[in-house]
Order: sequence, then C-alpha cells, then structure tokens
Amino acid sequence: MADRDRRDEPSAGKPPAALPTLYASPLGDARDRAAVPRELPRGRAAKRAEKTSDVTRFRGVLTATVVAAAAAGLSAFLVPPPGGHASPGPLSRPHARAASVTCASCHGTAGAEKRPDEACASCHGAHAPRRRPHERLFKSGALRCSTCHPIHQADQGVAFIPGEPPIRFAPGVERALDDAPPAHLEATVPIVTAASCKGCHDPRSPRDPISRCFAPGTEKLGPDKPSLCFDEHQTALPPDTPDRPGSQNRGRVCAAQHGDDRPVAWDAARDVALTVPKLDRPATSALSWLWLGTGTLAFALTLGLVRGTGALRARRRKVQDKPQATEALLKPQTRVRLPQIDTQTCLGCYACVDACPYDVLEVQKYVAVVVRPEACCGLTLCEQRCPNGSLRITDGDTIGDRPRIDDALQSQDTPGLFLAGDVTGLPLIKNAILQGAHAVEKIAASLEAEGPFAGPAERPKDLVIVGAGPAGISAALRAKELGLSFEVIEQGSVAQSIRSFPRGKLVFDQPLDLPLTGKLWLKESTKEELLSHWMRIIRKEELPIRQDTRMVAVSREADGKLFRVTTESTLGGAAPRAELPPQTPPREGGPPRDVLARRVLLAIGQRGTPRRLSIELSPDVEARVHYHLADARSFEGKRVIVVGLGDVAMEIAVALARQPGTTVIVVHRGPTFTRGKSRNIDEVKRMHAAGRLSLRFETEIAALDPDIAALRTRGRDERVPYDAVFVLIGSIPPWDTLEACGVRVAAEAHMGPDRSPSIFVQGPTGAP
Amino acid sequence: MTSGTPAASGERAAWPPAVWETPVFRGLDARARREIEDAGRMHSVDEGEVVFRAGEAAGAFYVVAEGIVALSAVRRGEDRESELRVAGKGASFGEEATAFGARSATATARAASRLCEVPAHVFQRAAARSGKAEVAERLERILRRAATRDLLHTMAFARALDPEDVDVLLDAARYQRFERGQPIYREGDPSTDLFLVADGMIQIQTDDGERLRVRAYLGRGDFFGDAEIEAGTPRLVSAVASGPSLLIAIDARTLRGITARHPDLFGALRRIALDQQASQRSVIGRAAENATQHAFRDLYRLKVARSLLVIDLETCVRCGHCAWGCAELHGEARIVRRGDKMVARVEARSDAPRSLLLPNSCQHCANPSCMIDCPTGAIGREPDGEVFIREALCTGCGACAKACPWDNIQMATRPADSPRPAGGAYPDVAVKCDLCRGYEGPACVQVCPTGSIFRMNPSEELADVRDLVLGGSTARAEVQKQGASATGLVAGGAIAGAAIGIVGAIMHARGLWHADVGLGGAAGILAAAGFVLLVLYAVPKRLVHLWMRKRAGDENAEPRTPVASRVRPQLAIHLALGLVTTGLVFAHAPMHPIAPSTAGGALRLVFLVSALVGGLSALAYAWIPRRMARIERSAALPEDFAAARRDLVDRLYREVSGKSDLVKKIFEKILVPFAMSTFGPLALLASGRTLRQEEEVLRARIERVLEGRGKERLAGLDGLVRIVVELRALPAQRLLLRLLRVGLPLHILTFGMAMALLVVHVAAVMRR
Repeated sequence: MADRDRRDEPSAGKPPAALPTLYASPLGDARDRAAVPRELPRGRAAKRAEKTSDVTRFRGVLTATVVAAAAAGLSAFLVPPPGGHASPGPLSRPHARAASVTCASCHGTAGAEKRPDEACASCHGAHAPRRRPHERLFKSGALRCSTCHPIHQADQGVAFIPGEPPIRFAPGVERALDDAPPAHLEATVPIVTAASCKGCHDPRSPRDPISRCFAPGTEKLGPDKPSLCFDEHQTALPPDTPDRPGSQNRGRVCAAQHGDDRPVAWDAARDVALTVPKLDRPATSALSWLWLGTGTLAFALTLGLVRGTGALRARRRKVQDKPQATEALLKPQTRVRLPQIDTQTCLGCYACVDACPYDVLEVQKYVAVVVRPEACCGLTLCEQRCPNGSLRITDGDTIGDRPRIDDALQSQDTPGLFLAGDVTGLPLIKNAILQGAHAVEKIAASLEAEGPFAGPAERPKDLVIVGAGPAGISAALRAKELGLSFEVIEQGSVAQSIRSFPRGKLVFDQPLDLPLTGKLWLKESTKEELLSHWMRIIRKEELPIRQDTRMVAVSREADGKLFRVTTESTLGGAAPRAELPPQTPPREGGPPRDVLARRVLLAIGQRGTPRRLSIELSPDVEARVHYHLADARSFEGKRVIVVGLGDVAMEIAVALARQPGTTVIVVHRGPTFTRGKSRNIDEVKRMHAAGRLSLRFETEIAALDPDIAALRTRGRDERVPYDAVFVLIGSIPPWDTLEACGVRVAAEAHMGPDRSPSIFVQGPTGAP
Repeated sequence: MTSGTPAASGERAAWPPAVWETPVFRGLDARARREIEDAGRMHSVDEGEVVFRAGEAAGAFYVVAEGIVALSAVRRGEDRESELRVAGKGASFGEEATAFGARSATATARAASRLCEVPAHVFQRAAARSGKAEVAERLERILRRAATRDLLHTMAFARALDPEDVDVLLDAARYQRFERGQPIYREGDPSTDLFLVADGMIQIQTDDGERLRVRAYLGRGDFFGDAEIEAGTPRLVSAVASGPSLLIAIDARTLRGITARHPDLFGALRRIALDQQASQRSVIGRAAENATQHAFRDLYRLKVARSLLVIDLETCVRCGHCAWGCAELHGEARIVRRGDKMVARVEARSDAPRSLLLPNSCQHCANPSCMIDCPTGAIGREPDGEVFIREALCTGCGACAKACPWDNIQMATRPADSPRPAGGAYPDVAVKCDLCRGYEGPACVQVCPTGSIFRMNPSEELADVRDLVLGGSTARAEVQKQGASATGLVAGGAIAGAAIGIVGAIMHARGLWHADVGLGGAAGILAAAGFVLLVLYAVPKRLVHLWMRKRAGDENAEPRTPVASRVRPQLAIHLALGLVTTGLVFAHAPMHPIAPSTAGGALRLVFLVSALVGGLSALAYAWIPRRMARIERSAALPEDFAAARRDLVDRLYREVSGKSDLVKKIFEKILVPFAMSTFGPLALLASGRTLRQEEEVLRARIERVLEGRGKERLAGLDGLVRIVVELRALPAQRLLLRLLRVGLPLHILTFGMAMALLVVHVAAVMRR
C-alpha cells in the first residue's frame, strides 16, 4: 500500500517492528462499516421477511395478459372488418357492384379451386399486354392480370356515367368529383399504380421508360403514384380488330370499354387522376388499433385491479395482525406492572431483552431475569415479543404518588395549569404526543368558553408550554393548528430527553401521530433519525421555542385569571442556578423575562435538572463543569475528571478515555462498582487496567479552583490539574418545580424528604 | 460426521432410556432431556462405517446406544493411525465439539451400532439450565486442556519445548471467548498476554476513524501479541475477533519464564510471524491493489462460508427471477438481492476479477452462529454442510435472525399447515435458505435466465481467499467457457431468420409466394408453430415447482453435485426461435403491400412490436449489466433508490459541516452542481467511466481550479467527492435498471395479444 501512515514506521527506540498494512478499507460510508467485521448491536429486532419488487414485480401480469388477450381477441371477433377476418380486402367499384362477382368467381369453391390470377379471363376474356416485353412475360406466366391489377389492394380507376360527375375509385373507397364537368360517355378506366411495376421497373429512375407514364409532381406518392399510360391492352388509335375474341357476347359493358371514343375516356381519366392522384384507403386499419387498444386497456385495468385488491387485502391483514397496543394512552396505569417469567418454559432467546427499551431484562444462565425492576415502564413490548408466553406482565401495587389531574390533564389543584408527557407518570413518546395534543385541545376549548381576554394589561399569551420534549412539541404543533398564541420554554435544547436517551435504538412499532404534520412512521429508527425528523418539523413550522430558558415558578396573578411564568436563563456562569453548561451558543429568544399567559402546560418530563456538586463554584470554574457530553472529540488531549459511576458516567468516561491524549480520572463516592451494566463495568475495568483512565473510589471533589481540583480520598487530599469536570451523579427530579407551580401529587402523605423517582412514576427518565 | 446413515429421517424416534445413564447426562432434568432428544438425532451405522474423520468440523458429540465405536488418530511422529480408545454402550465420544470446532480423531464403528447425536450447544445450554453448570464447566475444562495440548503440539514453536514447559503453558493457559467484532485489545492497552488462536479468526488492525488498516489475518494455531511483550511496550495495534473465536491467553510472566530457559524463543516466534506476513502480503498485495470492495474486507465471512451465494453483477440482468423462484417454491423469498459488493476472481468462471454481489441468503457457515444461538436446537446441519431450520422446533423467537452477522435469516408468518412446536401458537417462523434441501439443486441457481447466480465455496473457488487460507498460490482451475453455445445458437437463429425473411419478401414482391398457398402459406403455419414454442418458454420459467426435481431417495444419501442454470439455455433457444419466427412472419406476410385491417394484419403488427421489444430487451440484457456494474456501489432494488438518495444527501451535508472554508467553497461551486446536474448521469453513462475514474476526473477538475493552492486546507474533501460521484451515478443506475426491466411486461402483453389474434386469424382462415 502506498499510503502508509505514521504507524507503519517503526517507532524510534521500540524494537517491535509494526506490521505493514495488508488491506485498507474506507469507513466513511455506513455500508463500508457494515461490511467489515463488527459487533452486532443488541436490542435490534429480528429482520422480517419482506416481499421485494423482485417477488412482486410480475404480480397480476399473467392475469392481466390473459384478460388483455381475451379482450383483444373478443373485440376482433365482435368488431370484424367488412368482409370478415379472412377477407383479403374490399373490392373496388366495378367488381363490388357486379352482382355476379362472388368470392367463388375468382377463388373457386372448395371442390373446384381456381387460381385467382387466372380467373380474370373467364369474364374479361384474354387481355394480353400489347407491349412486347410484357407480352413475353405474360406468355411465360411471370406477368399476370393481378400483377398490374392487384384486386384487393390497389385495383383502382375512374368510372364515367353520362350526366354524372366522374368517380375516382379504389378498393373499398370511391369519390365523385363534383367540380369536374359531368361525363358524356360511359366508360371505366382502370389505373395501374407504380407499386405494380416495381417488381421489374424502377419507377423512381428518370431513365426507366416507365417514368414517362407518371405525371410530374406525383413523385412524393411513391408506390401509390398512378400511371397515366392506358395503352397497355389497346392503342390510342381506332381499333384494328373490331371483333375481339370474347367481346361479342359480353354485351354493353365491353362495348363501352372498347368503343372508338376510348382515348377520350383515357384523357378524361388522366385529368381525374391528376386531380385525385391517390385515394386514401378507408380507415379500416383503425380497427387493428381498436383491438390492440382494447387489449392494452384491459391489461392496465386488470393489473390495477389485481394489485389494488392485493394492497387492500395486505393492509387489512396488517390491521388484523396488529391489534395490540395500537392505542396510545392518555392517563397512566394505576398499578405497578412488572414482567414475570416462567423459568420452566423460558427459552432464553433474548426476544424480551431486545424488546425492552430500558434494559430491564437480562438473560442469565439461558433464562430471562428482571434485573432492573425500577426501570420498568410497565408496558408490554416484552410480553408481545415473547414467543411462547413465558413472560407475562402482572399488576402489582397501586401507584399513588402522581400529580392529580383530571381527564383534560388539568391539575386538580390549580385550574388552568395542565400537564402532559412523562411528568404525568405515563411513559413513551407516543403517549406524550397524544397527551400534548389532547391537553391543548382542552385548553383551546376552555379559552373559547371563557371568551376573549379583556384586561388592562399587555395582551397575554394564550398558552405557555414549558418543555420542548415530545409532549411539548406535539402541544405546540396543535396550538399552532388551533391558532392560539403561545410560546415554548425549554431549559436546555429541543428534545434533550431523546438526545440523552442511553440507547441508540428506539423501538417503535406504531406510527407517531403528530398534529399538523400527520403520521410519522418510524420503524425501529435510531434516536438520531427521530431527532432529525423533529428538528425538520420545528424548522418547517417555525415553532416559537425559547431554548436555554428555565421556568422558575408559575404564579397566579392577582386577578386570578392570568399566570405569571417566571423564567431565568440557563446560560452564563453568572446565573446563580445555571443548570446546563454553556456548550451551546446562545440561541434566539432574548434575555429571560416573565411571561403572562392565560394557560400553562407543563411538559417538563421526568429528567428534572442535573444534580450538582455540593460545593460552591465560582463563575470561571462553572464554565468548566459539564453535565452531559455532546462530542468526546472536542476533549481530545484534555485532562478530565468524571464524577459518578453510573452507566452514563461510565460510558462518557470510556468515550473520553478513547480520545488520544485525554487523561481521565473517574471519581466515585462508593468503595466499588455498585450498579450499571456489566458490559460498562468490564470496559471501565479494562481501561483502568490498561492505564487509560484512573479510578478513585471513596473519593469526592473537595474544592474546585480554576485549573486545580482537590480530590479527597478517605480524608486525604490530592490536588489534580484539570481542564474539565463532568458531573454525572443523576438528576434532581422536578418535584420542587412542580410544587413551585402549585401542583400536588395524589398521596401527599407518602412523600418524605427524599423522594425517589421510582415511587412517583413507574419508568425511568427519557421515554422512547 | 460424513456418511452416518440416520436410522429414521423422522429424527423424532425416542431414545433408549439407557442413553440417559451416560455420565455426561446424569443429573439432567426431564426438560433438558426432552430438549436434547428433540434437537438430537439417532444414527444407525454398520460395522466399519466411519462416523466422522479427524479434521472435520465438529458440532455434536455422540453417545453409543448400542454397539461399539473406536477412535483412532495419527499420533505425532507416527505415520499410521493408531487406536486411541473404544467407546462401548453408554459411553460418549466426540466431545471435542464442546471446545473446538474440529475433530481430533476418526471414529469408526466396530460393530453395527446405534448412536445418539447430541448437538454440543444444545447440550451446554440444557446442562447449564438444569443446574449442572459446574459439571459442564469441569467437563469442558478437561476437554479443553486435552485439546490445547494437541493444538500446542501442532505448533512449530512448541515442538522445541520440553514436556515440562508445555505443562507450564497449559497450567497458565486461560481460555477467552470473543464474539465477532469484539476487540481483544486496542492500541495503547498494556501488553499482558500472548494469545494463541484455538478457534476462529483474528484480525490485527489499526483504525484512524476514516480507514481501517488490516495488518494481519490470524487463524487456528496462530499466535499474536508476543512482540510488544518482548519489547515491553503497550500494544501498537488492535486485535479484533472477525468471527466468534476461542483464544488461549498466556500471561507475560509465564512466557518470560519460558523464554528465560529458551532464549531464542522470541526470535523463532518472530520468524514464523514474519514468514506468514510476507506470504499474506504477497497474496493480498496483488489482489487488493485497486479494489476497496474486496474479499479481504470481511475475510472471515468468506472463510466460514461453505456455500456462498454469489451474483455476477456483470451479467446479472436484475430481473429478480432468483428471488421470485425462491418465493414461488418456499412461500417466502429466502434471498434478497441486497448486500455487499465484492470485486474478486472466481476461478472457474473468469480470468479477470468481476463485480460480485453477496446477496442476503444463507451461506452455510462452517461455524453457524445461528445454530449456536438457537434456544431449541431447531437449526441443524447436514453432513455435507447444509444448515437448515426444523420448523417443528422453531418457536419464532428471532434469536438466529439476530445472531446472523449478515442478516441472512428472516422472520416470516408461519403458514397454517406447517409443523410447529407443541404448546403454543408460535405465529412466526424463521426462514432461511436451505439450498432447496429436498431438491436436486437450489432453485435460484436453476432459474437464472443468464446463469449469473451461483453457489460456491470461497475457500476453494475464490483464488485470493484460497491462497490466503492455504498459504501461497495454488494451481488454477480451468476457466470454463460457458455461453459460447448460447451465443452461437442466437446468431444462427438471427441468420436463419434474416434469410427466411428476405427470401420471402422477394418472392412476395415477385408475386411468386402468396400468404395463403404454397411456401408462403407453409411459412405461416411454421410461424404459428413458432408462436406456440415461443410461449412455451414461459412455462418452465414461471412454473418452477413443476420441474424442480426432488432429491432421489434418502435425503442424506449423496452430496449433491453443483447444478447449472436450466433457464439459460431455454432463453437462448427462445431468442433463436424468436428470430426465426420473425423471419417466417415476413415470409408469410411481408410489409408491402399493406394488408388490410384483419386479424392477420393486426397479428403481424402486434407480433412485430413484441419481437422488437423482446429483441431490444435482449440487447439490453447483453450490454447494460456490465455498464451498471461500473457505476454501482452495491446492487440496489428499484424501491431502494429514494432512500439511498436521501441518505447520500443527508450524509453530504453532514460531512460538509465543520470543514474548512475552502472545502465549503469547493462544495458550493463545484461539488453541488456536479451532483445535481441534470445531464451529469447521462454524461457518466456516455463516458463509460467507473465510479473511481469519475472521482479522479472530479478531483482533477478541482485541482485545475485550485492550481495547487490551499492543499493543506483540503482535509475531508475525498469523502465529499465520493458521495458526490455516487449521487451523480444514482440516476444513471436508476435509468439503466429501468431500461433493463421495462421491456418484459410489454413483451408479455403484446405477445399475449398476438396469441389471441392468432387464434382469430387461424379460425377465420380455416372457415374460409
């Protein structure tokens, strides 16, 4: 490989020669990454068999073709051409008018067959060509009557009837020339076309003698141009042999053709032929198109019908197959629900483990076990996925500690204050979306009933939505739809709960029904996909969202009709209770201010605010303290202290330690690993053993000065230089905030000073 | 495991109770027994019959229910097989399956015997679940130690060691199992152990985020991690398991102790490693020179694949008949034409490397992860390597589908009449390719109209893989010239058709032939016969199950011989016949003079349209696939294009963020217009460049604009260029695909109508 990188060079002073590259694979593309050996992500659903276009491509084509063929055949049978399908074509005027001419006259009957090209003489008598070469050919049989007069195809001419305009005719068509002077003699002059001569002559060549028979200006007609030489069978001079064989008993017809004034008729015919050099065939070829068109139409219709009914049936089947859990819920369950596993029948197949969005379940010794009951959201994804019913969700104790809300999601303690999303105790994005929209509908109805606001103060907002998570965004969309004036306040950035969701994969089986934008089908999408959808919607609908603004309290104004929402900025170290690190640039929204609103919707979720260090932080230290990690790469080469040893802390510590040149110290209060996924613990232990991060148990941060942190381990202090501190010791649930807004939870008596989220709501923070 | 004739293919015959008295089975509960019995099989062997041979893949061990079996092997230093032990009634043998993947001895029946085959992974699972984990572990420990000793003896360096040293090594050996993609160590980790590969495959690599550089591929018997131990440095490279691997780790201290006694040990180790490196480099160097999509990207996949399904993209006409045929035969298509593209040379087919697609279809691994992960043992393996699913045991849990690293198993709705396990509805079933187990050969291969899809064993038939696996270049197989006869046939048809048509047209023009009599009429009758033969092509093509021959007799009797496409010669005949029939149609009814609008005229019209469409499609089949293979990163189904484009555009904008201003400027001025230009795709098609060449052209254009300025600010431009070129190629790919696929439905429709009009025409002519 030409492009050896620096690792190819044997490092100075290090004896082991690094191996040269055998094969390099670019990893920029997801498809490339997928093709190199990689770990399989847990938590994915098994792939379902799909019907690709390969399989469905010809669905219905056979049926449609059979129908098309039948339609084409049937229409050809029902709408036959004149004379039937075996007809060689229509006859021209003289033959068509002669009652005595039938098919048998020329073609003979089944018993006595005739050659059609020899049959002419039986009526017309022998009409040998007068020109020598033609005569020779005629005698040898190479030239026949039908060579020049192809009866069904191009047999044409002019008919003169005394007192009537001349008639130009061709097979199946005739036209009277009304403008021409009426004829005064009776005659029929056949016209031969260039097509008949083509076998021997070259009608296009001026040197060919036949070119003299064609009128100038008719060249563009090609084989259809009429020959104006009529003296093939008799000269223009008076007949030398008046008694032509066979002419005696032919009566009037032959006499009219062979009279002395024949050349006069020829002249007249010449005029007619020059006026109408070509007669267009009757539009019988349209019949072909009719039959084929019918067939094609039948094909298209049948194909549409077959595919349409197929799609309809498939949809119906889909609806039938998936009746469970399609309904989003409005109010949380009243009992704790937990999976129960029959260890005798459990297969240990990981179906439930992979279905659970919160890693509640694990397989130990080939049997599924509930390892994190406190994280269970009480929904039935695992139950649905269990192949043999070994896992059942069972109801447990009643949950009492919830905000008291009525069916409109209005707080029963503070009318006019509504709640939606995780904060009501009901997890899952789908439910939050429904709740947000539902609450706004009720708000709009109540505002309607109240009538327009008439007060002296500045015009208040109809609605303030606190929190821009799934519920808040759904509410904002519905509010926009209903034409309310509203504002959204978000303490961090939009949908931060989803951003910080621990797993990359979210499990969706049903569409998310968002207001305004309609159904959002996300099957098994990653959180990045969901987020980018979300951002696209917010951008498109231009929702007024003030980010980095935290709601401090909601109080009722003196008149009892309005709420005052007190806010503060979460940006800038100077703010006394800045909860979020200034990692993101200030966003639109301006300085924090109080907002007056007629209704308030709290969609603040469950995450609450990150728990902070118990020590006082000066503003310039504050800028170095982070509560979440956006991008590990930006800490390359930095000295980082991570406080905490939960899953989030461990994952962040590992991600940071993987950066080149980054030194990581993990500080934990406890004496050893206490919780977390075994996978994370193993990785941290491995990294620790590898010397890539250092672990300090029973250690706390005693003080933070700019650049120097004091770590206290069992009473001993150590001073460590640092660039950044990550405080990842969980979050303070939003109860205080709720109380500040005047919301009480149902069972006040249960609540001690140290309220843990698990008694308040079933389920962890950040719902998928 | 070869040639063991199963007593009952039903597999469900109850096992004699005495079997359960075997030491390894003692203590198993009833459920474990039932599971083992369900997943296992009963074999009857005659005296002298070989149950398995040394070196074969091992997935199961045996318990003798009746009779006696001898185990023999060639001991090191001897050249004759000698008997190791004899297993009598109630004894077990072949336990190495629980530790390593290959047989260490040959088992031969001493007398007519009945054997119970126990899949190792099912046994391990059952033992662990019935509380016998400790016993199973102890058993495994003993087995592993023995197996490791054998393994050490096969290794070059250990041969020099004293028996005491080997014992020291064995005492120090720790067994570590790694899953696919799991790192054994990463760059910068401390060097603590030397690793021996007992089973699986390890990739030594470095990864800078953009490119993955593979330094070495290691297989069974190889060792790694010695260099850094000797030098006392941290790891310089990463080691990643490319497939499930079992490693024996020997810690640095033990190793140093041994090297103290054998000072030249490291030198010997180094020499062996360097030799191997050099031979791998010589193989890969010449093969991977210009192809990033090479077999080496996922060498493990090709190494374990026993029967890999491959589509030659340079001849594949993307008709999807393979998937259709599979769905027709099995209800669900077990092959999806999506997957990785690879450029490699298949020896038996071509001299030059070709673009190959590895579609999603089971590759029948030597070491199937799906089989190991199946909780009920529903996945089994035939003696000749076919991996199959027993529907009667499949619970539809999806573990196998999630375990397959290449997504080759899908979950489908279980057909109503298919067998299912007792005690549940089990609505789903896992489906995957079983090589059409009951039939003579796989349907997909047999129905391919162009013979582009085939099954192969990459480690035998793919030159690069074979050279790498076996080491050094080996003899080449003869390139089979296929397709010459087909081309000859079509050319012959073309000549015959043209001759007939021209002669007919001349004779008609001379008036010597007529449509209804003589040779002209005969041509019509022959053309009608041609119509019927032409339509017959559709019958075997579409009614696959009519001619798919069941495998003769006992399904385990013979390893099947590879099959070739059956439809391909039929297509050649169809094409030749079509050309001859077209000639006959001209001889029967030439274009001039134009026939009137009868069924015959319409028939000729629609037939000629059909022939034209068919002929154009055939030309498209011949020319487009090669063009298409040049411009596609991976083969796409028509329904995938929209998503592919969206992905690419998303990626493009994601990649451009954070790049230097110069790159952004280039992006705006050159790259975006390049990607979005309307005629760009056509220009790409017209130029006939490959994606790589197009990238070079674009880079040259950028170079021209820059004139060598700002080189240092171009980081990340290559990735953008790749995406942009692919964006440009996408519409071209789509157009070509459409050209390939649009003709066939039209051809079918027009030919269907032609058949109907033929009936009308013949009926009319007969009646006349």
